[in-house]
Amino acid sequence: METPLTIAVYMLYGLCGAAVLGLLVLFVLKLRHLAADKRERVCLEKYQDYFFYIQAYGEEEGRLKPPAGVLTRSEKRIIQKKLISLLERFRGIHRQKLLDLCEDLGLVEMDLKRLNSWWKWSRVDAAYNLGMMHAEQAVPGIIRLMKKDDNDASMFIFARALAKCARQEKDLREMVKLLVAYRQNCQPLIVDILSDSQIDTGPLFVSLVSEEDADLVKVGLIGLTSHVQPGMGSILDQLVNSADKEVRIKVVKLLCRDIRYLTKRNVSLFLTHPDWEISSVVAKAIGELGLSTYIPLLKRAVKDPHWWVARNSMNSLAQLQVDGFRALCSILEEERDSCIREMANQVIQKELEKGKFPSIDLEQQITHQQKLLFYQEWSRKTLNTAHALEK
Amino acid sequence: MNSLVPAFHQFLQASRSEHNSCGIILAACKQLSPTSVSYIEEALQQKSTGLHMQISYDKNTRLLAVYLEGQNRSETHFFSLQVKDVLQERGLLAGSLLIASFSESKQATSYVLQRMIQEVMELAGYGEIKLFFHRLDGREETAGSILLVNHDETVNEFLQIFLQQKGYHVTIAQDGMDGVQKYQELFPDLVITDLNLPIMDGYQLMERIKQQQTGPASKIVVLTDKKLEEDVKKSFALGASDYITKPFSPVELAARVKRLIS
Repeated sequence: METPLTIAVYMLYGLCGAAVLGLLVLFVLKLRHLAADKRERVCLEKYQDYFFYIQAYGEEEGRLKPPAGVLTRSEKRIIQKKLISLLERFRGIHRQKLLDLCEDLGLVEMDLKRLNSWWKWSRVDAAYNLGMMHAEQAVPGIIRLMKKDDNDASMFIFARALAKCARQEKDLREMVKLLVAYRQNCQPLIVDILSDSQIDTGPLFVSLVSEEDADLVKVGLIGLTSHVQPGMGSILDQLVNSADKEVRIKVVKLLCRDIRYLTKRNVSLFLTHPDWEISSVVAKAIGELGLSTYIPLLKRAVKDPHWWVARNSMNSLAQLQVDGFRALCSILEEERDSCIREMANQVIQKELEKGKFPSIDLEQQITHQQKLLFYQEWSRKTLNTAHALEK
Repeated sequence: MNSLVPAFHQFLQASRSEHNSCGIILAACKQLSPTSVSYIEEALQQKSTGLHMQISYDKNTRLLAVYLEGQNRSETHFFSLQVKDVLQERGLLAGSLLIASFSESKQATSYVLQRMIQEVMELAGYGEIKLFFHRLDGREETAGSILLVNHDETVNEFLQIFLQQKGYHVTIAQDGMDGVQKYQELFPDLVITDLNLPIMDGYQLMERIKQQQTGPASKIVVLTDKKLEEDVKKSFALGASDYITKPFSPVELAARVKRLIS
């Protein structure tokens, strides 16, 4: 019969065996890694002259020639790594020449086969490589992987690869729909992925804005901030009343980028909108766009109960040359609410302090001097009035 | 006279037209027997199907010359890789290789060939492939000097090859401090710098360059992956003449460099 001590000894033997086995595995992995490093070094040395050749003739007519002789699979991988490091850095004819070379070397074909590998990370690696090589043939395979593979972060690797490979809008649209279905609130990331595409994504964003799914609409709206498209007024007007608050805010942000949409009707509507975020965005945009005609509306908005709306309105008034600054100073006289007066005073002082730093722009310096002069005259007059009232 | 020159004229006479482009490869070899020369010729003929070429060997200088008809510089360069392979396989290579190409074969005069022979014999090293640049007007000076300050080895390697091809003299510095030191030594016509640099960043480098400028000002081009307006503004305020973001077009970069240096 086995005593507890014998069992403990067996356990210790077992644990020691496992530890030794683990160490052996680590040792083998390390050796493999060193061997791979050495193989890579030898291969890079062997093809050093060839790499010089491909870098020296990137802008000449005709395709770059693949190296003479038959390449082993491992050599192909190492050459591909070097080519991808160049592809990441260049655009224009040099990139195109390298892309053609990747195809001529059979690298695209090799990774297309790896897309069907049993190993998940081989598939992910193949998709990444195909993306870097802008391989159009890989589009159906990558879409299939996006539909089939486990839902994890590799979806984004597939999506980026697809964005680089796709030549048709419909493929990008399918990718966007798969990503939106996969994870919510990643619209900025989707737009960033789409920016890697070779095709013009403007029309895609326009069509996404008309979708029923709010997440797709958000992708479209974010995309349109960097892809200005004409004739969007009517669609955006409708979306201002969307049931989704985030959509409403994004639409107004988009409208605020174009002075044509900021009509008097729209500005007064937005400044009194039930969503404080919308009022705040519009108040800020008026100052940034220098729309002095809306000074009276901003003066009204400084009384808004929401802090950000009031603050942005005051900041915008300070930005709107001397007229806006004058309106801001008048708040100190006219307003009864001490909180608003205090906030206005802070904004005025902050604006005047900007002049302490030397500005490169002469026009800015002149405007600042005008504001300072106005403020000095105004405060003297106010003080005199106060003294007169005291007497 | 070196026997390679008459051999080349013989090759030209046999060529179809003097308006054809042609390439020349010179390789410093060991002492070659006629059998070795025939072996090399045979091996190269196999690798170059349909290519009109001629091989000659000069015993005195131990130089092997390969003349190629209708080949531009890139084709000649690519063929030189195979010449090198063949020579190395048999252990016949003794030094480096020099390649040149001429858009019209009549540009390859005896004088140019003599200069090539001289240059390949002066080359140190083993197995290196050097490019021979010749100007039709006979001037020897470079298009300008460029200091490249970048921590990215891939970009450094590429730009050195690319800009040297355009006739510029390129010096590389790996970090900001190295950049300042090399700037003080060389006072180049143009500095291409990244903003993200070890030890001393691109802004500090530009400030130091600004302080040290006594004679004609070196132009500065910023080549970086920073895309923020703030970085662009600050770079121009510190004296940058141009700002290029990665990924970049080498053709565009070359055009900007040419404009700034000229």
